[in-house]
Amino acid sequence: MNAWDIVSVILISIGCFFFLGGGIGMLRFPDVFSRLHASTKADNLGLGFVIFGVLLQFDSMLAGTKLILVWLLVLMSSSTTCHLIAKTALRQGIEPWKRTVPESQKMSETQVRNDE
Amino acid sequence: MVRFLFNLLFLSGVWVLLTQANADSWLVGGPVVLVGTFASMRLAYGAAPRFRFLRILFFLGYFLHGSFLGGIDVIWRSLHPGLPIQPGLVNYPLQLPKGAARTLFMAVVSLLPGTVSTDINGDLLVTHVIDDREPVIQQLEKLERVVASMFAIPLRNASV
Repeated sequence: MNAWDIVSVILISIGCFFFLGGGIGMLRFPDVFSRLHASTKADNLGLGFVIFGVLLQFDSMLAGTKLILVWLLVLMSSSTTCHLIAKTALRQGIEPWKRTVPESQKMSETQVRNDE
Repeated sequence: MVRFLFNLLFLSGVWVLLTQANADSWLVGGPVVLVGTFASMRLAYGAAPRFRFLRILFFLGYFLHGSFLGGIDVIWRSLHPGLPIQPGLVNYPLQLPKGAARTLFMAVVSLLPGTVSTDINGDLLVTHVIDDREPVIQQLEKLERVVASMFAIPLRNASV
């Protein structure tokens, strides 16, 4: 394993971490809209890191350009899909989830309780 | 006609890169590129967009930086035990005219920190934000200025 291989492994691991985090966001976030944030943004960044890591393993320019192009195409399609899902959900009357108590207030309430 | 040829050449180039110039692949690629070109002509709105090439680099830098922060931000929120989100809808009055610039803007909005472009009513962009305590409007204004300057579109209060 040479130095580039190690850099590749690190970059791909970072990419996987983002995929994992996006997946956890999908499970923990409360509604379709906030889940879209997790899947779209985390996966794009994760894929970016994975592709960057794989890029270092290629010698030919053509193959490298192809990988970057694949990333751009995935960016375009995931952004478009994200918009279409959000639009459809909103037009079907799905209400975005809201915090019943704003977080700042919640904080101060617990503080008040602690003070008592 | 010039635009048709340009799109045809552009998509052919994309195909060559994707298949690493494999000649046999044109059996599939030929029809796909043709259909893609016709679709792009049919879906195009208004005149062909103009670009300022140095501004494209600026946009790319802004976009990469923004999508990096966007990923970090959403990962942080999903892993934090307290789930620090306060979602809401924010309406943003668009200045970019209908066409390529607006489409690009709406696509990039979904990749920047905390915003997903959700719907459009006339010139009003409905954005879902993950935390309405963040300065979302300022971020959208900044992105709109960067996109507008790349397409050489004048905006009110433009100052990039």
